[in-house]
Amino acid sequence: MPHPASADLDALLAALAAAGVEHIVVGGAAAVLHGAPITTQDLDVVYRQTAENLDRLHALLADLDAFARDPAGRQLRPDRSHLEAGGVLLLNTRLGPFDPMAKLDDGRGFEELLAHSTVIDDEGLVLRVLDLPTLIEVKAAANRAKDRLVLPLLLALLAEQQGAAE
Amino acid sequence: MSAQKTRQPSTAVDPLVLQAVADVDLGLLRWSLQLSPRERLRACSHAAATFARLRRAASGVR
Repeated sequence: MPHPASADLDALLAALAAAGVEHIVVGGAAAVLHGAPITTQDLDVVYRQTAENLDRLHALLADLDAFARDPAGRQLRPDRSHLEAGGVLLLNTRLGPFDPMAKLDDGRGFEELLAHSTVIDDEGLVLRVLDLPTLIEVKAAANRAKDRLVLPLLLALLAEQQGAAE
Repeated sequence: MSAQKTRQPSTAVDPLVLQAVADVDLGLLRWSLQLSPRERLRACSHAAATFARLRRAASGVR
């Protein structure tokens, strides 16, 4: 049975939490968690690059039957050296597309982003998510068409949340 | 859920993007904010799966 074309975000994040993989949710899923009414096909996370965490993530990827999204259709399995190398892995899993990365485009990894993240605890699932101002900064700096499309929504969301907090 | 940080983004945003903020559907935004974070995830995944099914169906009838 082929892997799904879109991610089951809740199930993927629950699987990461259950496996004890330290990560920060970034990208579209972070926007959704903050309250942006958008859709996203995949889950992007920045993982912590410690030996133990790489082991946990590698084991989880095997459990999720992960392989690279390859235009040629080859089922290339990620190995631990790919996680150590620090690039972005574009994977298909049995829970949908999953893109773990060691660093954002701007070079910041888990340790640097930790101070720019917030913890969301909902129904027993504890998630560390890139905070909304930083998410806006990252998307403004990336300035791809898909980022420019979502930025007005994120800025309106920030204003709405600040209005509610005052 | 923890309190959201309220600082402003430090990166300059394109004026055209800033202009587009006025066109955002605040009703939809407020609907989303009424959901819990996990409800937002599920709504997003449900919509994405629906779009994927529609794309497959559309490609099949061409």
